Amino acid sequence: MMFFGQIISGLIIGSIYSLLGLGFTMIFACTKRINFAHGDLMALGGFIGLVFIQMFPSFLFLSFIFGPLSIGIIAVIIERVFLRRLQEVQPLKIVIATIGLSVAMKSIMQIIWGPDPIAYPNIVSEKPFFLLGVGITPQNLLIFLISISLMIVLQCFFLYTKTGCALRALSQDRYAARLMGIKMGQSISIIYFISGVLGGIAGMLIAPIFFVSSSMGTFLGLKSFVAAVIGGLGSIPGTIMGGLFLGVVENLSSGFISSNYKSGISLLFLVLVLLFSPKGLLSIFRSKYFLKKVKSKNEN
Amino acid sequence: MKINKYFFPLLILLPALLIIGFIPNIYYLHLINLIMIYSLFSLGLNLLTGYTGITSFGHAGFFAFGAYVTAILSTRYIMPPILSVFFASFLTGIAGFIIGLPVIKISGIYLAMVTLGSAEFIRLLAINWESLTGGPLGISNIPAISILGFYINSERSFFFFLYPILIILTFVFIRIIGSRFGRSLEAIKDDERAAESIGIPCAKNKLFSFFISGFYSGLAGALYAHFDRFIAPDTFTFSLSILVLCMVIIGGMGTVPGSILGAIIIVILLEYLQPLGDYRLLVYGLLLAIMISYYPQGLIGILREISGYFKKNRFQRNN
Repeated sequence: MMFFGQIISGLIIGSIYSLLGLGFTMIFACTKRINFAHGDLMALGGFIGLVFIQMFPSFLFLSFIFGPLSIGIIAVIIERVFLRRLQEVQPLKIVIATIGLSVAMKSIMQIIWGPDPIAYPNIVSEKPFFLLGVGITPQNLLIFLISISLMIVLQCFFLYTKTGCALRALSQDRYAARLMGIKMGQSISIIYFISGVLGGIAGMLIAPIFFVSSSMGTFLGLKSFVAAVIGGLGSIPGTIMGGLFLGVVENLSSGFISSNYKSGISLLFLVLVLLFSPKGLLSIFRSKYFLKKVKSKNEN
Repeated sequence: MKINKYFFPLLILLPALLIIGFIPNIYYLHLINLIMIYSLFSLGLNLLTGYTGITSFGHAGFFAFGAYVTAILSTRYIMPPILSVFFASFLTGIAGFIIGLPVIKISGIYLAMVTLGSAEFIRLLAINWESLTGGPLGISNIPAISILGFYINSERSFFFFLYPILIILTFVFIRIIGSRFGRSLEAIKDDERAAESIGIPCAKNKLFSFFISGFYSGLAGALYAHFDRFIAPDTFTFSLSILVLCMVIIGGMGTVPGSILGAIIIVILLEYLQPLGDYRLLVYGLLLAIMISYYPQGLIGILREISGYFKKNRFQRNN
């Protein structure tokens, strides 16, 4: 019984990781670069959402639109000012630049809102319902459902819209994509905007659980990045699976081994995954699936 | 041996700099000692980031490893500190080698994550293995280094101890960079496949550069432990790794004077921005981002550009 309980609470934490990991994956899928400031964009999303909620307390819905949108705009500004010149050079330089930005953003948040966590108003009711002895709050369920539905929406966006198609072309071969008339700068801005919006949504959803603090971005951002890598950076279903998987593994290990090494275990797991299957766990399934598809085509 | 054009100026300048050790103000001496320790540390990272092209986000882990090994050996096992410092830096080199082992299979951001993870793991070990490392309280009363019965326990004596070490290791570093091995590292950075095709053993050389980098960083950590006489896990966080990365990038990746210049600038900023409190991190972060996106060559690059400009003008004037 305890085992199932651990798994369910792991899935709850995991859905948070996967919601955040989507932002990393989006940028990686299109530009092959990693935006390390994503965790801090998420924290900033929590704070800005709080500002909007306090401004329009009667229109919660509005703040849920304007908060993420403003984070999207901030992400685009960051990309234009700092990262645009680095798109063409070594991928690691962007990582270093975004780490610098993340440190800077964290301290800006600390200066404006103070170092202590701030309580967040609950959007849905706080009363938990019980499943296999684990209390699940509606907030957790909301996060789970939203991250799954966002995954579906994003997948559809990438597969069926013209812009999504352009972005996919860009990720495959940016020079060929440019020859086909895809505007690279504009597309990268779009992708940063989307990932910023995702970060803003994540920040506003996660804030009632963890409270908003300037340091929450680092901790959660790193974990969700690990989740995205474990699942397969650049693939949206992979990220969701990786997040859920990491949440479960972390909870089980802290339940059965020791909670002191909780974050160490996830990083150890990352190293193992990178060593044995660098494209993520999902790539194992995918390669088999892919082989089957090719076979059936050949038979036809 | 071919004599460098800087050889004779340096031969005079370097002993002359020993005068710094007679500054009456102990506080300045403290800063200078810190600068020297961080110079060693950033040289270690520079070998990886600037020369081999491997970015590490976990050099604080190596620093911590060196510091803890020497602290444990000299307090628990009463090893003479001078021996334990050497032992610690050697062990850190081996730890660097082991942490660098994934380099055979992965590269880029994934490798950076491995270093980050290993640093975090070392810190968690330091916090949780209380019987050995003293847990979150850390280790205090680390003995001072003694050479031939002479105790290096003041800032001034530490300066005279550290200065020759820094000079010697910097020269060793320059020799490593200029050697066949060092030049092969730069070839690996520029194009790994091309380097492999002309017969450079890429994985082996990368691993060896991890070893040397670990050695320098571990030595810096071990010296820091005997300098501060107290270490605790919260010194060796992620922000220390970022600080060193700042030094390397602000000074200039892939240059030896750059690492030292970066260490000087960052330590001075660290001290003089103390009253700013939280704004300090804002300054670092923005400096890091601006430097890497607008001046990727670092301060040394800017200086070179300026001197190149003057040289060109003189050339034009002469003609």
